[in-house]
Amino acid sequence: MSDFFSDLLRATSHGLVLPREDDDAINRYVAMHAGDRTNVESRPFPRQVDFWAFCIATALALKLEPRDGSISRWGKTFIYTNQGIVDNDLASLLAIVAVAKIGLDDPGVTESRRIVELANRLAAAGCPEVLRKLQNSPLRTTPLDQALEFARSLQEQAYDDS
Amino acid sequence: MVSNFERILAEIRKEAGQIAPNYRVDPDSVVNLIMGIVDLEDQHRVKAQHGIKKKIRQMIETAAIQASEVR
Amino acid sequence: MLLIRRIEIVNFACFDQVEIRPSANPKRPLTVIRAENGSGKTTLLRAIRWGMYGEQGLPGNPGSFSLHPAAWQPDSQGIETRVSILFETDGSSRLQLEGKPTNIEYELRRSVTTVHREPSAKDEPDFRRVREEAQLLEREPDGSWVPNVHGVGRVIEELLPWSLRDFFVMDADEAADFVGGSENKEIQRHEVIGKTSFAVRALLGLEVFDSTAERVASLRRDFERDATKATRNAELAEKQAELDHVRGRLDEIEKRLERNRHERADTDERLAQGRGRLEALIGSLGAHDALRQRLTDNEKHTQRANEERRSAARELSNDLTRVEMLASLAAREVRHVEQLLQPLYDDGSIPVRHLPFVKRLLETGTCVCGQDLTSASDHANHIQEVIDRSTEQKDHADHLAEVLDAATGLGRHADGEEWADRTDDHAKAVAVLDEEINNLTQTRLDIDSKLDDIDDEEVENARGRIGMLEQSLSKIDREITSDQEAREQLAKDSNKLEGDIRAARRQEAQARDLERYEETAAMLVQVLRQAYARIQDEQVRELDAEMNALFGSMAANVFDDEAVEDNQHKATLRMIAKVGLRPLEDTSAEYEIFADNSRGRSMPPTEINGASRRILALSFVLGLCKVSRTVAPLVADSLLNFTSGSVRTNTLRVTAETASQPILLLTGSDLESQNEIDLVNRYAGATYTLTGQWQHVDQGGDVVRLTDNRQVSLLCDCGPREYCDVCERLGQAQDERCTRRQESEAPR
Ligand SMILES: [Zn+2]
Ligand SMILES: [Zn+2]
Repeated sequence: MSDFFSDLLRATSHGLVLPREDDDAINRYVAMHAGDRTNVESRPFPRQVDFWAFCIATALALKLEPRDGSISRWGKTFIYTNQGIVDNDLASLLAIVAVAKIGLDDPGVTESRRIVELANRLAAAGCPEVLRKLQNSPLRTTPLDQALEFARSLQEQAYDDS
Repeated sequence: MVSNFERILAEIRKEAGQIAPNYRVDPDSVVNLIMGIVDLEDQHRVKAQHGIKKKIRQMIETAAIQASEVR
Repeated sequence: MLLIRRIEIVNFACFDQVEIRPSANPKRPLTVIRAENGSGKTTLLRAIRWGMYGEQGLPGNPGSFSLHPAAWQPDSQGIETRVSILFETDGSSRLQLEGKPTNIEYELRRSVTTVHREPSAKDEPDFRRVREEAQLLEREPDGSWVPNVHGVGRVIEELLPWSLRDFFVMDADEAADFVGGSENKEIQRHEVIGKTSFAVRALLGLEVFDSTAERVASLRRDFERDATKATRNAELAEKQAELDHVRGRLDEIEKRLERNRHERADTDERLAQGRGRLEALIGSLGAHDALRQRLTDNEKHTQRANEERRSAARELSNDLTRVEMLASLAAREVRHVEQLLQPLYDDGSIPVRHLPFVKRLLETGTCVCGQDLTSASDHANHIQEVIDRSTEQKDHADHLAEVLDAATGLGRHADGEEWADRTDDHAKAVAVLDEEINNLTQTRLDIDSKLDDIDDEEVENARGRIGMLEQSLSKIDREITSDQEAREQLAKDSNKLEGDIRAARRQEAQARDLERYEETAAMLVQVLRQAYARIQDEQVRELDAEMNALFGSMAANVFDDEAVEDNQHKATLRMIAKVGLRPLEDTSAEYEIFADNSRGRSMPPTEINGASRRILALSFVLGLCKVSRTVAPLVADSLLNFTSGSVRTNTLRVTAETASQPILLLTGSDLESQNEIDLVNRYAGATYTLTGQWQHVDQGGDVVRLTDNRQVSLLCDCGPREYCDVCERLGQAQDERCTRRQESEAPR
């Protein structure tokens, strides 16, 4: 498999962004540092980018509008794409999403800047939903269980519609 | 409860028959002497007898003198 | 021989007037008095003991036990209590060694009058006893009764010695003292030995024998000393003094030896107890090690399970990052993009497939249509334009082609099923491991609590105690050995001195007579000692065998029904292979009852359980009576307590067959089973039932009719499965095993 999309995103530096106001909440569900996998039940996401990706998928499944407004006003960059953090699978999904959402009429649909921007806005839209779900875990249900359960229910919604 | 006494008597007869000849005395008189002493001792056991020691000493002395006269 | 013909009790505590005629039929020697607990059994036993022994047969301080009727209102005349025992002997008494060949009948009458007195202190009784009289009447050939010349005390002590009362009027609890006490009390081993030895010596007639030999030996020493004195020889006197000194030391050593033997017996017993306890503790120590091993295993398993669980959970966490899942959430977008781009791919616009072909046309210089493209022309310009435009769109189109490719690839996962299945598997693995960890934790808690129960400190203490006891035991043993050596040496010294003295004295004429006396005494001592040794040896061996046989018949078929396992640490009936009696030391006149297990290991009687001790005590009592040819009554209470099943049946059977005149006080539950009833039917020559009026239904008991308004106990002739107007209890009329006995005479 080629690394077409990951190369594309690595070629220029774009910041991956999540809402600043949710920063603390997000960090509660992400492993403290690379390799810290002792607490996967309560910190189900290995990295922030995984959380970010899950938020994007959530926004899509729930048909949420990308968050508007100036990203620099509400966003906080947690990593840059030139650090190679986005693998090709995720990058290609982001490119697909860009085509679906921007459409072929806009020549910018293939630009990595536009792809990442759209992804950031979708992540920001999905983020509150994901956090709401994680924070309202029933007793004895771990955030990991809750996230998986949430993923399953979103799957059903998205698949039934398509 | 004293039926056993016959058995004791028999045993004394047996021993006297073996031992008395060594002392050159008559076994029967030894048996009689012993049974006499035992009887006194038994009465003493049931009810304390006065002067029992002296009585038995005299019995032995008499028996010894009789035996030496027979010899 | 002594057989009781009649016992009459008048105005004794709860007895108004009661007469018992025990069976004297040798074929049916058993007399059964059925009496429930609390209906006057103990009082009956006391009345008989009082009849035999007077005040010393009663419990408590002399004069404090009230034997007058409970209902008696103190008055000036007072009330007379009377017990009469009619018995028969065959004249085989040492008092009548040359005596009468025929049986003699005696009546022992004892009476006392209780009168009122004003107590001077608060806890003093309000009565006192006056005019206690005891009379022993002997029946003359002409039928008249005359007082016996020897007197009551003398004859009774001769026939039924007070010290052996447990043999004749027995509360089975007290008989158990011969083997270390009953279920309810324990006595020390040296006391057990003392009691046992006394019974053996008294019943086998050894006691008087021993005292006779001792007496003659002491006389012999007197003769010897006197003979020495008579010689008036200074040197001899010195030697005599030395001899006296040696003998004094010998006495001391004998005493110390006896003391040490007792101490040794007690220490042995404590050691056996300590070892038993340690064994039990070490048993749990073995369990301790096994538990520790299990704990270690458990820890290993738990660790592995936790690791596996962590990696399974990590899998689940990774599932959250899988692109298949993300794609399935974006299924709408993926499908949409596929539909959007597929036509463009199909028509060749993505990627731009004609560009390399057109470029080659320009290089070769000839178009597909045949026109020359080497020189500038409209056609060539057109081709160049196509190339320029396509090159401009190439990146864009390539990108879209990659997007279509990716969308097609991800579209295959868009239903998310594959991901869900895999996630399910991972979740299940976690659940299974959770369960396993739970179980391991529970097991661990169990092991921990078991380990808590085991007390290491107690084991250490037990070891320490045993160590100390072993030390003191070996010290005692050393003392005994050295005393035995000293005794031997002193005996040699004493023999030599005796020889020296005798030799020196021989010349002295005056000493000759005394010499002869001494010689005679020495001969008597020899005869007595040897006869004694043989009788002791033979009879103890006989008793030993008899006990084992009796014990064996009573403990037969014990397998299913050892209901009473009163003490966990104690040996049970089933564990006992042989019982008997043995001398404590070859030379001593002390005996001990023993019980060996099947491996031949001796268990001190105090270390076996209550039911076994009772059977052991009974086999001793019955065996001793048999070996000593004692024909005497055995009035026994509580004989079958703490026994059940075949042991109970065996005990009753062996007692009925072995004792000369067993008079047994039994409760209804003792006689519950048909086996016991069969034995009573076969062996009982007389049966009675004792009924306490205070057990009437109106007073919370189960006696149906009130026969007498007073608080008295009534005796009727009813057998174990009979009832009458006097003794009927609730339920008997409905019980088809019971029959109503027609009263032929007024209730006694
Ligand atoms: Zn052409
Ligand atoms: Zn009756």
